[in-house]
Amino acid sequence: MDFNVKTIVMTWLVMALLILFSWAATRNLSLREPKRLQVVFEMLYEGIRDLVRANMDPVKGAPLVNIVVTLFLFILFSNLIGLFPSMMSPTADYNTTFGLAVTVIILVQYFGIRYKGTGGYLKHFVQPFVLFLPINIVEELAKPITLAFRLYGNIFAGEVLVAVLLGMIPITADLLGGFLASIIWLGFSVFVGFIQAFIFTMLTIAYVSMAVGSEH
Amino acid sequence: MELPAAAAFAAALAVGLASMGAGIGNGLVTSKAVESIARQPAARGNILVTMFISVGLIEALPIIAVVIAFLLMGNI
Repeated sequence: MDFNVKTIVMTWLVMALLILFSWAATRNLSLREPKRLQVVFEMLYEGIRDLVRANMDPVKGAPLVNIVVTLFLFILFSNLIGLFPSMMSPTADYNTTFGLAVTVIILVQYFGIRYKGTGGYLKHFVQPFVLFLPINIVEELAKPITLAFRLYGNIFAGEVLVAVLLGMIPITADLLGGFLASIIWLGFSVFVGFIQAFIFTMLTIAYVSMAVGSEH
Repeated sequence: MELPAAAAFAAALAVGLASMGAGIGNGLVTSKAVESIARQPAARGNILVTMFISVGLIEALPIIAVVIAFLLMGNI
C-alpha cells in the first residue's frame, strides 16, 4: 500500500488554514460592529443556510447546514491552494474526491433512513414499479461516481494545464513558456475552483433533499 | 499503427469531441438563461445561479474526457 505523501501533507496544510480562518473569523464576535472577516463568514453561512432552506424542510435540514458549510470551505480552500507555485491541490487526487463523495453518499443514506425509517427508505427503491430497482440502484451508484470525477477532473485538468502552459512538461518549452497564457488560465482556475466547490455543495443538498422529501 | 501514434491521435480526438460537446451544451443553456433574464429581469439572481450549476453539471463528462486525454498523452 503506497501513500501519496504530497496529497496528505497538502491536506494537513488545508486543515491548518481552515482552522486559522475559522478561529480568526469567530473570535470577538460582535453584533453592532462586526469585523470584516466575521461579515464574510456570516455571508457564507447565511447563503448556504438559505440554499438548504429553499430545497428542503427547514426542520429536517437544520443539521445539514453545518456539514455542508464545512464541505464547501474545505473544497474551496483545497481547490485554491493548488494555484500557488509548487503547491498541489488535495482535490487533484482522485482519492480525496472519492473520499468526499463516499462521505456524501453515506450522509444521504443516513438522512433517508433517519427521516423515513429503514423500511420506508428501502421501499423507495422499488417505487414506482418493481422493475425500476436496477435503474434506481444505478442512479444511487452514479451519484458518488459523478461527484468524485467531476471535482477531480476539473481541478486536475486545471493543474496540468498550468504546468503545460509554464513549459514544465517538456513539450518544446521555450524560455518562460506561455507566461501570459498561464496568468489568464490561473485567473480562470480561481473561478473554476469556486464553481466546483459550489456545485459539490449544491448537489449534496439536492441529494439529501431527494432522500428526505415526501413527494413520492 | 504503433502505440505512440495511436495515443496521440486518440488524445486529440478525445479533447476535440469533448470540447465540441461542452461548447454546444453550454451554448444552449446560456442562451436560454439570457432569454429568461430578458423576459424577467427581476429573477436575474436565481437564473444566474441555476445557469452556473447547469454549466458545472454539463461540463463534468467533457472534463473527464480531457483527463483521459492527459492519461493517453503519457503513452506517447
